[in-house]
Amino acid sequence: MTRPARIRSWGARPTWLDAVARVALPLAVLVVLVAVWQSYAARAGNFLMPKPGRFVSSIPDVVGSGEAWRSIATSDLSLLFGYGLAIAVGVPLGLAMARNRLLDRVMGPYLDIAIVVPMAVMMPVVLMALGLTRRAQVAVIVLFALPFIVVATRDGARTLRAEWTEMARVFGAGEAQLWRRVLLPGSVAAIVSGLRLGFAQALTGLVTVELTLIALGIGKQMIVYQSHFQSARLFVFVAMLMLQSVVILGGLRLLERRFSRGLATSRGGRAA
Amino acid sequence: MTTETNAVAVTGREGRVSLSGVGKRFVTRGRGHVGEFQALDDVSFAVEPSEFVSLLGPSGCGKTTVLRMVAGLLKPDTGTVRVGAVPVTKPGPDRAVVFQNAALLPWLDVRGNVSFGMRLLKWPSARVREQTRHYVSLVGLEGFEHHLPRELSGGMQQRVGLARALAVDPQILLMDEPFGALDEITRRQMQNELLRIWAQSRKTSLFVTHSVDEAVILSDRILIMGARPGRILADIRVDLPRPRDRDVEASDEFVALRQEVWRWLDSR
Repeated sequence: MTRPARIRSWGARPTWLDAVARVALPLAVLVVLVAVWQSYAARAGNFLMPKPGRFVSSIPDVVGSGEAWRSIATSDLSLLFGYGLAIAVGVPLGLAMARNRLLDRVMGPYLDIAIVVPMAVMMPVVLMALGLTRRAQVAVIVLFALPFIVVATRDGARTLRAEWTEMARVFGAGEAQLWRRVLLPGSVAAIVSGLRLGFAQALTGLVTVELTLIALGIGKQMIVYQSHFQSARLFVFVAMLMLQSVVILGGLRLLERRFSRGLATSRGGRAA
Repeated sequence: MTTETNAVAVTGREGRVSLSGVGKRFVTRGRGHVGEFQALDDVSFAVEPSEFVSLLGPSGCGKTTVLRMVAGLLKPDTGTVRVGAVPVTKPGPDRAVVFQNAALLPWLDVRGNVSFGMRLLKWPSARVREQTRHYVSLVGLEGFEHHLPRELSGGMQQRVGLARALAVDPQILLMDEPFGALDEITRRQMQNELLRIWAQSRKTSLFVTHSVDEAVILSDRILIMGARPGRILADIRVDLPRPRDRDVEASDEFVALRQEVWRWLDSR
């Protein structure tokens, strides 16, 4: 009687072991990192480097202070505008490029350049055009995020099977109906993954512009911490920013998984 | 069920499909050379209302090209394709297509796929619901209304494709090797289903296949096509009694027809 059970457990490892490994291994890495940090900070000459203990004790100071949150909110507003604008332009443009070869030919080269060349080189140009303003920040974020959103949407929409659009045409779909009933629903998964890539880019754009040229929110706050030699608080602040992006990206990834599940299996081929 | 929809159609011979002198060339592009390929040359035939006609031939003879022209997806270089008296220039609600790979939308369930054409035609939703229910049950998919295409077998997917085409109540049903990708057992089942369903509506039908038995069991007429250039070699009348079932396969007429068709195909 025990044999079938043994065979089953031989094939698939006990799940609790997996769970332990999944949690314990990253934790072990963290412990090692903290130990390295501690020993490095303890050495003479590193007076600006806070020890892990001071980091932890500074958490309430930063998290409890209104100015940290205000600076994050200030920057997030730019992020929201820039990212929103990039979506509003990028998704329709990507779909149109998948549908229209001429548009793809015209826009394609610029898109390739925008993907390959780091958009940071454009920042001085934007700055000259728009000055040290929030508008310039938003423009930089759009520049960072837009190419990735367009490319992901276009490439996803291109993989739509030609037979779907043909079928829709046979049943009398005009261009508008084709978009609403076939192109958009068929591209949802690609669009969402484009949104995720675009968000990571938008975030990079925000941080880059805040730290180098236009410090309105988080950049300004970091300068405040630096100029007061509050290195532990600076570390906590950076950790807060990282946490925020991890949470948002995680949410987008969940969304992506939800939408891609509907399409993945049926797109590749037909089950018998 | 069809009384009110027939009101849409005018009287006369609007269900008649006719091709006269239809030719089509395709440009082929290889490495360093551009060639031309005569896909169809001077193809003329007609499908009478309520007639079931099969286009039978080897691959590459242009049978699917003919079907796509009747569907309005492709324009002939020479000659004309007409439905009734009107030349075909684009797809229209008078013609519906059953595709080789079903061409179902994977994000819609069975009901959504079956009602797809009716929604594009902006039929009132009560009518869409009623038609959908009717055709889902006609093709034997009750209980699967909320299944997604990937949860269905190939045969079931093709049933959905058939229901979607029938549901818009077209005058003409165009079928492009609808059972070509199915295994033999499923294929026979689907042929039986099509015989049963067709007997109820007797829609003018053009059916593309490369299976001799399939053509003989289903058709009133078989047009045998040859390749290079694609053309019609023979027009064979199938006078097997209707309603038809599998028993005719044992009849002398069936065997004789089968042999006649094969003689034409083998002669090339």
